[in-house]
Amino acid sequence: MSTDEHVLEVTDLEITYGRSAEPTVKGISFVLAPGEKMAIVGGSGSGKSTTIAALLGLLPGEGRITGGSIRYRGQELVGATAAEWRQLRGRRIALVPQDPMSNLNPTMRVGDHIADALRAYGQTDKQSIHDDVIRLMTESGIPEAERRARQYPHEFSGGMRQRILIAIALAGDPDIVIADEPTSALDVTVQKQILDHLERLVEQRGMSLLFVTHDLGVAADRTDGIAVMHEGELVERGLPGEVLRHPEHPYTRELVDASPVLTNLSSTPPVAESEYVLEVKDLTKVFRMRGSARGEVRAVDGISFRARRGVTTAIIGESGSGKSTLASIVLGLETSTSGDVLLDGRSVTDASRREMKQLRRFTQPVFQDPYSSLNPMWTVEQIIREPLDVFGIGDRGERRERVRTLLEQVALPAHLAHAHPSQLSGGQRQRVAIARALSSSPQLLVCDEAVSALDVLVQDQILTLIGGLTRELGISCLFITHDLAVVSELAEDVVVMRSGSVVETGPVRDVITNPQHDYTRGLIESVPGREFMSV
Amino acid sequence: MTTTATVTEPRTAVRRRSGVLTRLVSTPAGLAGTVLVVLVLVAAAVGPLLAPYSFAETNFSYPYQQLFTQGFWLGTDDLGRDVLSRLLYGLRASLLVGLLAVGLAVAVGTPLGLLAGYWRPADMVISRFVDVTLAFPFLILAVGLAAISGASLSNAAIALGIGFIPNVLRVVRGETMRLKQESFVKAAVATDAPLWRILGRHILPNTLSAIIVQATVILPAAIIGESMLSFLGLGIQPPNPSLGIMLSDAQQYIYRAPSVAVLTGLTIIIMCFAFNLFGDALRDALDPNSSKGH
Repeated sequence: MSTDEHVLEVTDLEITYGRSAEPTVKGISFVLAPGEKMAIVGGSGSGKSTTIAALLGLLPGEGRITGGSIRYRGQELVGATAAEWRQLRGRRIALVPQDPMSNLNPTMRVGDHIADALRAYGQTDKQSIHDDVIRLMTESGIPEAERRARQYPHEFSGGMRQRILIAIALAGDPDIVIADEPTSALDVTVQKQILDHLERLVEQRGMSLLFVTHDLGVAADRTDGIAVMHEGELVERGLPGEVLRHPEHPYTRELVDASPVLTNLSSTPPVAESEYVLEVKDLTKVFRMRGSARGEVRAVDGISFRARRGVTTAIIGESGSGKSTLASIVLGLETSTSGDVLLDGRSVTDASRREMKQLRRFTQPVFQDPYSSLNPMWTVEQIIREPLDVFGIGDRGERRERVRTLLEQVALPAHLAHAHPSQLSGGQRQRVAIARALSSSPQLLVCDEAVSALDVLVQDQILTLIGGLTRELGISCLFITHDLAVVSELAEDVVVMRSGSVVETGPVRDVITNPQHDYTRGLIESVPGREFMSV
Repeated sequence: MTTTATVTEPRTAVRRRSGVLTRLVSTPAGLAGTVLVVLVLVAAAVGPLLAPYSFAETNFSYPYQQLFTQGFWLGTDDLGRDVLSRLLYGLRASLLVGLLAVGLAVAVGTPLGLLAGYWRPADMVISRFVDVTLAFPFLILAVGLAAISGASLSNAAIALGIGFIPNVLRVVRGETMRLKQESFVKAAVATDAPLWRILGRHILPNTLSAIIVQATVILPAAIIGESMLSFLGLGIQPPNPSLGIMLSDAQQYIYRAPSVAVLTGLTIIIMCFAFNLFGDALRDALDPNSSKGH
């Protein structure tokens, strides 16, 4: 193949930050043919964001290219001037950024964002700009573009905002579109729609797509080739099927193994049917909204289900399905509007102060964000000991001993007992949160998106830890998540929620292999990488 | 034992506390503020030892002495009292009133702020109290207090302290409302931790940096407030010196000995400037976002 056939050619790219001797990114080489779709996959800190910043001439602050070359249709981009970059950016190489919530100016009308891009590319005629805005919005899949162009970003949902970002990227009619985790903040079903659409647009226009993601499944579904980055280097390249089925580099193998997969699950341990650890009856929670026309939001709308003792029950739903409100009510952090929650047969809603104390000892939470779930001023030992102190369990020595045992159970070294949370990584913090939840020996662990904020590898470790501990200690677990693949790995039973109601319940195996409801079916079809990864 | 893969990536131990002092003096403004604050505090602490004369010692043979006069390096006032000695004593009194006022404001504002931020019904009551306090100029309060129990150092401090309660209260209330949403507080609630424990052990320690910074902002305002009250005769009573009283006296003979007014004014400016600089630098140094967060 001659060089002219490549729209982008990166050779031995090396990027260094500040005066550090060690380059952050080194030896990156790849080519992109016209119309080719390629994925760069890697965890946080792998250097993928730095690489795409270099491809756009947008390296932050102290970062600079210390070796190698980037060629766009034969033109060398390393060392290009700011003026040259302005000609390239958007018109030749465009970016679809990650976070649809923060990438639009909240005080600017949606249409003006796109018009701004068009004006930057030299269009001056008002009417033609207006026409192009409407055309781009329509093409990006926004109905009633004429009306919606005059709206503000807050009137758009996350998915709609992401479509606007795509429209902006397409405004300059570029050859290469770089999509930086364009859908990681969105629900799976929305994610699928948007990616399908982006793929179609790029194909129609013969553009090349460079897709940056941490999700092997998404990468495999959407691209012709996968490049895996790890610690600043490209460790593996190949066709999606090859990389996922026969990973060669140890890191890729780890990544493939750790990726949550829709398995049809092994045997469910036999459980006495009559034993329920949690019963939810006709539960409703209404939030009053100030200054809203409708006045109230029914976050949870008359749901009923039962969770068996000794197994993990997953509550799955997309954002706004009411699953977190449910968790708050079970934990006694919110009161219900009507209906009842029975823990171990005892009602939470009309518990007296003393009964409440008993019930709270019965359930303990693990929250989503490991950075906000530990008091930054306390040591790990103080944090884990807190439930023991509050419930008055054991004396000083016994509590210390218990903390040591718990640290061992969550596989943390004993010397971390005196560390502060700021000295721990995200995964370690989540282990501490689990140790705290277990310290008072609760019967029901409530995990609210406990692994959603973690990298794939760490996520896998924490899931294994939770699964192992709950089985070993015979604890029941209510696992709230939006990720169906995680559910299939961990849970025995599943409750599917949608806009405050229960759509479907049953053993995970039945629900996944034979979903009864259209919504569940849609969820399952949206899980990325099914074709390559299901067992 | 189910142990998953060994825990990786131990973070380099970046202790947050030890870095604060280093960061505090790392900028020119921070360094200047810190040095000036230390100087002011030292001057106030050992002032009586340094002062060549008593603050009340009069020398009727040497009134209105110029600067750099032998024996009276900063001159004398209308009664021949040594200005240097009076400044050292006055600075001490002003700082004392300032610190007492800040202490009162923090002691009352912090618990009320915690309660208001955490518990909505209390917020309704406490925030109305704040509104009333804000509608009430502290000068009126000081006049009232002076009328009831006489003008004195402690009454000036009380009036000023009450005047600054809303500043502390609002900061603590805001921080509490933010921290209430953090998962570690929710986890404590779910563990049935009592109210005092949640407020005292979880929320209060995390609001301390905001309170400290607020205190350094209030202190210079309180020092100026004290000067104003004493100037009006509502604070410290002569012959005890305070910067306000000295200013008030100096205006009577400003044409004969302008240096007294200028020096007193300069002292007030330097003290306020020092604490403002220090407060700004402290806020930056304590802000976890300015350090390498996560």
